[in-house]
Amino acid sequence: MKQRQHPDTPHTAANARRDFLKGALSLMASTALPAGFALPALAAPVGKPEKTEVKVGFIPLTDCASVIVASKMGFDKKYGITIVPSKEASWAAVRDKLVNGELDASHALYGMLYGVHLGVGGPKKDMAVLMTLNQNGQGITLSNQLKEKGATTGPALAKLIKAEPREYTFAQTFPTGTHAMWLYYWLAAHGVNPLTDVKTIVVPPPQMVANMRVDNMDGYCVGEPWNARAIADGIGFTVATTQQIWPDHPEKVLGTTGDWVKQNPNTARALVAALLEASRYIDDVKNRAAVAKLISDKAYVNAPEPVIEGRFLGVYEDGLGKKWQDPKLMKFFDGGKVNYPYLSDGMWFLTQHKRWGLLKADPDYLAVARQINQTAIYKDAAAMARVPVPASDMRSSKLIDGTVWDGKNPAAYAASFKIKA
Amino acid sequence: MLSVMLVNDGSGKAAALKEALAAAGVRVVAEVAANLQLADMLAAARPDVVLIDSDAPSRDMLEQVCVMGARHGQPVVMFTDDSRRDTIRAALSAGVAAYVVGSVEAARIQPLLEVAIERHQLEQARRSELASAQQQLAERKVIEKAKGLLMQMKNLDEQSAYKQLRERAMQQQKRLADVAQDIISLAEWLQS
Repeated sequence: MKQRQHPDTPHTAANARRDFLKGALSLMASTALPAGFALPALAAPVGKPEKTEVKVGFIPLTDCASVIVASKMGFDKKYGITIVPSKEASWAAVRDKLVNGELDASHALYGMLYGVHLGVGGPKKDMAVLMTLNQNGQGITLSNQLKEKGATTGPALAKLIKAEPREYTFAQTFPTGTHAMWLYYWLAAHGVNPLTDVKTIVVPPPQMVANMRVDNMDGYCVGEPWNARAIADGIGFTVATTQQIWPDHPEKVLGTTGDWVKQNPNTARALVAALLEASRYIDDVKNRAAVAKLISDKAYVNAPEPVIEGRFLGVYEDGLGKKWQDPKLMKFFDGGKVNYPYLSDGMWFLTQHKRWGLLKADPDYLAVARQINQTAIYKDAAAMARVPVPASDMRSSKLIDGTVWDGKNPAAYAASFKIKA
Repeated sequence: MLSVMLVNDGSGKAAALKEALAAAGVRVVAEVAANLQLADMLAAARPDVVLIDSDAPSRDMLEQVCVMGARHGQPVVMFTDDSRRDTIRAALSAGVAAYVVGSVEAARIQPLLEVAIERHQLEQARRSELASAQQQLAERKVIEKAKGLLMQMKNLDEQSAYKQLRERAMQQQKRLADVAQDIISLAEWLQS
């Protein structure tokens, strides 16, 4: 016979103990959750993944770590899929392979997916952001020649460009990508127009250091480890980290096409859940050294482990003698705060694309972000992996120039900058 | 006549197209190594199309030219016309990506990519032919050696040795070369 507890069952010792445990558990859960976050419940039971082998592209950068870890540590198997990481040579190749279906999903630049969705610089294709993979951890490096001229800060650089005009050349990694936007934002915050006062070019991340050494490039914005590498090689210094430009800014995302999500919703959920578990694993400080070692391998980032490990652990040195432990280091999880595909994050890239003339007219910012950022899929995956999600689709941040971005009035925000295209 | 600029980077597949393109009546206006001056070189060479290895890291440099060109009125468009997805996919897997400069119709680029794909297929066929010829040669050497060992050890003439080898292969349902290799290994072990 089944013994069932009725609501009116009198208190027994067992009940009391159970109630105590329940209270303790909910207390633990509530203290562990960030403010404004709650553990989501599944909207409906999730079926079997439509496809079990998922080819996920990545570019050799420190922030591809969660893709590698999910595959290497078996977090994918837990959700019934096998992630096959695929090393790619360029963001253009990532884009083409996503569009052609050769890749299922990829480690991708936030702004790039928005650019493809709106047809900036090429054909249009509906794209999707499944989750944010990381925050922070990129940087702007200036050459030693600029250091000798005293341009060791943003204002000093701006002064030099005005006082000694010539063609100053700055590199980033993709025209619509994150590094272009960080570089432009930072230059403009110091009164330099990135489109008219300097020349901007694109250089593949692993070639940044070599190109600066030989081609007299003045500076670049790129993800780690390529800023740390410039210091290690003695050719430049870090003038700004991107977390100084926007503390806890969104960086790489897990991207795919809109069609792929429609055809493989369960695979998408499984993939996000697996990557959330990997993200949680990486953000545990005690695992970071091992992860740095794992991704330094030739098959992945292919850079010396010490060059990756330092800034991966938040240990910064700027090449000018300043050392610090950065609380805004490259984050992969942060209790789930990193990964939610905030609509305000996606819209920010649209406002900057508009600001710099990549978009000719204001798009319907919110509608585009809703089409691309798969918040419903994310919430299901977060429920599967027991990761808290925020109550709001927007978040508020204060950037380096003092402006606040909270997702409200995007068109007005895009138009509000003094320096623009 | 279409004019093409070849960017030599990655696997060098785009550059290797040069002769095939010339044979197909396409003018190659420049063959360049990818570097920081790519945008300037493009402006100087004024090609209709840029061909680059699909796995070239410097493809992202061209993306900047695409976007900045569009802003300054001379568009460079990545050729991923959806209606021709299969051609594009085949071209990418053949190792070549195409960028259309200015106002060239997408349809005119099609033959270019077909040349690239065809060349890739020829290359593949030649490579597999070469590999199989090399394997045959290696196998024949092994069989000759095993035959020699049998003749010596069992005091047989060449024809009987070969017959025994073949019978053994049939009994064991193995390839002749594999049986020959087994015999050689065994003989080496016995003699050591």
